[in-house]
Amino acid sequence: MGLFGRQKGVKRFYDYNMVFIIIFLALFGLLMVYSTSAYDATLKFRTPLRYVGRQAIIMGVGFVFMIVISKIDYHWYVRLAWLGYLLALALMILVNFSPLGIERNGKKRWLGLKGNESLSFQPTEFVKIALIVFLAYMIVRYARKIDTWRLQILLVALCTPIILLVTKNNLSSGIILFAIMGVMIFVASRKKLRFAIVVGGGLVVAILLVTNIDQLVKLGVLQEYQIGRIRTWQDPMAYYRTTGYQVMQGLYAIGSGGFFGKGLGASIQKLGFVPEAENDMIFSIICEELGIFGAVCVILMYLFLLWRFMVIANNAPDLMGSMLVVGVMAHIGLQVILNIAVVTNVIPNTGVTLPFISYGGTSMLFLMAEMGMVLGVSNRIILEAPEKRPAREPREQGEQ
Amino acid sequence: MQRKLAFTFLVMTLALFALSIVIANINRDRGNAYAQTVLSQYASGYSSPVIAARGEICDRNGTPLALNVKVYNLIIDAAEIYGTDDADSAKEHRDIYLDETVRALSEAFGYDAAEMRKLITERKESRYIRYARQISEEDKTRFEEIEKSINEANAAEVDEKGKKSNKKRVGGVWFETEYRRVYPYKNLACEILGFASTDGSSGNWGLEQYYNDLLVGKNGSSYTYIDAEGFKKTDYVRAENGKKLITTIDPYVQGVVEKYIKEFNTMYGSRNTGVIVMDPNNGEILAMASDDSFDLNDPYTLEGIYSEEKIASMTDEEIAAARLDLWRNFCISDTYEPGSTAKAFTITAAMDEGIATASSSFDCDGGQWVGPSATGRLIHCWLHSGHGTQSLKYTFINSCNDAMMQIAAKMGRDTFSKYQKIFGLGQKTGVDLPGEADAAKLIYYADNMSATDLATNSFGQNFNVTMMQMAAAYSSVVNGGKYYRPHFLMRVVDDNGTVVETNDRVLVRETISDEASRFIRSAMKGVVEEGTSRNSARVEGYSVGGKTGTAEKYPRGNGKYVVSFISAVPAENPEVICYVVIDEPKTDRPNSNSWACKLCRSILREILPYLNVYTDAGEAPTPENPWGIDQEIEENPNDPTSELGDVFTEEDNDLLPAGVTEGIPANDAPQENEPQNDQTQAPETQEGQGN
Repeated sequence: MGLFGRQKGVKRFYDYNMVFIIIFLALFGLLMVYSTSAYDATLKFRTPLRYVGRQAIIMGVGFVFMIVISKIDYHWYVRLAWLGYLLALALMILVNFSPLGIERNGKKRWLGLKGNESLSFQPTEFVKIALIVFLAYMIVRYARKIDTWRLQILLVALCTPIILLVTKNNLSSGIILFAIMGVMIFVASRKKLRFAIVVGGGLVVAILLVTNIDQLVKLGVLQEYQIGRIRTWQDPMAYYRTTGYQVMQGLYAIGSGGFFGKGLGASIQKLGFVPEAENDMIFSIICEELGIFGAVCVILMYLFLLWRFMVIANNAPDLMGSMLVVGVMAHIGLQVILNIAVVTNVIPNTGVTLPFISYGGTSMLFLMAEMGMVLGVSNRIILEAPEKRPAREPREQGEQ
Repeated sequence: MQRKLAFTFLVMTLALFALSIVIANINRDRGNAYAQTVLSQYASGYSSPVIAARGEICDRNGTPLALNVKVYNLIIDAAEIYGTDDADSAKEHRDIYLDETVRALSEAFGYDAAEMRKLITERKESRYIRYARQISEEDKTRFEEIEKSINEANAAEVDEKGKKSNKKRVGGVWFETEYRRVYPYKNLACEILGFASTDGSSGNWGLEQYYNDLLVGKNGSSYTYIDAEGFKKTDYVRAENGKKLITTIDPYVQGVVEKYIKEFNTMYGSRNTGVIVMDPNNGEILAMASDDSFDLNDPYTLEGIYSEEKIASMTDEEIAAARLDLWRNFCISDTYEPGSTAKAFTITAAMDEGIATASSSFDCDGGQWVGPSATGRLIHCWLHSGHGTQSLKYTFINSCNDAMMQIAAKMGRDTFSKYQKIFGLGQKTGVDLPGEADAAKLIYYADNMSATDLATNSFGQNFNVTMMQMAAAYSSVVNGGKYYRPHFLMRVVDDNGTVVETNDRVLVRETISDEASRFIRSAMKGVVEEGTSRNSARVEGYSVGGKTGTAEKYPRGNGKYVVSFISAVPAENPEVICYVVIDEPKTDRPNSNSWACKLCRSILREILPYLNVYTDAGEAPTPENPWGIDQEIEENPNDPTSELGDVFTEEDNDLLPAGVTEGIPANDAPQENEPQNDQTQAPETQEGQGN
């Protein structure tokens, strides 16, 4: 098979449902970015189209990118897994320890040349794809030993350095990477108890953390700014003038929306009150403008997308395809959940974007690349084989 | 694997479902409150007032006599500094802000640190404590510099671990902009200008009150809304600053007038002294002053006017009354009997009515029988021996009462009363100041004027006027008969310097004929050259016309007088009128109007050269000894042969019967016949409204 793995006479599946959802979410995202950013853009750049224009261009490029990747046979690039892994590690080292790392808002997350920041990008987005591909490769390679403690620990040990480097400046991405890793191994393995123990133990630690902040401070386990975040989360109003401002303004936006919202474009909170309204906080403006109804519709769209991921993973022609889709599913699902949870102050503020909707160049491009991977897997599903070969039901393919 | 994948999907679905519930709950539980918060922070954040500045008041050259200085109010946000709750976060606020803010405040403004701490602690709920008002730009900048340096120093501070650990900051203090009214010349023209309230929203007394509507301006605001396309738009209602007033006040003339009033008062003193200087040809008032002077920048203080013990012993009502008295403008609010100055009205009226001509002659035998022979009585001329036969001009120069009574008798009460009305007596002049009195109840009208009233009114007794009425009427008498409304406002200028209104001369009515005016001008010149003021009113080099006036105040016979002098320069074609009234002069000869003449002369000597008034000799005099007689008084207080004795001519007490003064009938004047004593008991019976 070549790069595109075409075979004559084979009729393949292509998940147009998913394409439709992606197009819908992306266009809806454009609309919301326009709504939320027009005011800010007019103030700063004298044109309301500043953000939405950039977003549309990147989205167009990303869409083409997605289609191209979806036509590539994933077996071809999974072979580059180790290369991706090493590259990801190298990039994270560069960001953290070399002058190429650019600090914005106190976070060293961007890579690029100083003074030419329009060409900078966030390597964490690349790291997510690299990790998904790497884990898929490793799981397929050692599929027989996947239930052994040894292999699972080995996989975790291989991923940990990268995750820690990411976590250093971007806690939320670290959590997402950790979750991707966990979900992929969980889905691949047949064991259950050990995962339940890990998740349960994590929850217990988190609860202990939150309930015993003061002791932890005294022991010097937690840094002061981390405690500040937890305190803000517990009572954002008390920190209204500092760290609680963004959360409170987001909650005001959500709460003032009502069931059907104020109407598209009618948000007041986007007029300079909610910081990063077109970015991390965009979901609060969706709630304000479109109400609970609009918010639930958006959530349902994401659920539909996740469901499509599940179907594709289940029907993928081989384990490698399934694993790739599971990784992407973990990524998207977790990012949506984290974003909405942050905006509604269910968890402390971590700074995650809402996939397809939030403004942001790097994440959009890599997100589209991931979608291309998933569509690529869907495109490997054979609906109608040439007569010489017996047609196989797609459903059976997933069981390999 | 499928099951595990399904499980993962289920967990994600449940999580998203839970989040949907959370969103719904936020709306249900706090929706209304948050919706209100959104609207209120939107409204408060996006509409703010823009303060307008009060208009300036300038002199005739455009120099501001009243202007505005930007000042600041110090606002302390105690809630911000102290923290709002009992929670840890409040303590955190305290730890951050309290110490350094108190330090910065006490360093910048010298406030007591312990007191500030107490204030913030006690009023920890308050977000708005206006701690100090009208702080200067300098003080504000000093505080801001201290704030900045403390904050920067603390932010840069590094502990032993190399961490920036000092979180203490200055905060919770801000400044509100305001304008403060400032009067750079302090006391100058205080009674004309009046003073504005501290916030500049209203004026008290004077031009500040009269033209308040022009001066206040409109506060602007900016407010923001969302337009049809969902864009935020901000509309600015621009602050409309108050209009600038260009007045007719001449600060030099005003200064000279105030200087000599003060000098007279320090030397002699009086109950009231008033001076008006105006241009008779258009009604522009150049200067107006009385002896009460106060600093417009601090108009409420009585210090320096009363002793400290006196102020301490005064009740609130007394203090209020004392202030009102201080601010009162004698020139427009107080009334008095004009005395002989009113003779010009009688003579010019008679000429225009054909009752007398320049060639008429009158015989003064020292008195006139008024009324029917049975019930009437004799009213004396001030010169009991009589002036003999005199032409009309000399009746004025000699200030003969007898002749005036004869003229008035011929004229009759109807005509006499008509002319009083024409001259504006008993009416407000319409000068642009608040609190003008009209004395309408203090004059007689045709229907209530007895023969005695007619006789006494003819020489300026028994009815009341204000200084403003006299100055305006006299202006018309000397300018050819045109009564212009006296005024201070010349031009109104807006913020861009555009003249939006000009206040040219307003001709109210014609009073007398040009011929009568010419006649009275020469008669007035005669008064100064050979008449009642020949030794006290002449100004070297200038042709001065004038008329003296002396009126004994009610009750008659207690030695209290109002003396006055009105002058017009140059006599032939007057450009300046200077009217001086001294109420109850505390001199050894209180009935002598020479004090008024000398005060007038001192003023004229200094202002005529400045005003470029045409001189007789073509050169300006040197005003080196303005009082002319001061040294002589010091040197020879009792020497009848000194110049001092010479100054007092026929008006001198020595030459007059006891209690008789120029223009005032002798004691045997029929006081019981004067009706409505209550009206004329004292010149100040009727007073202006005063606000």
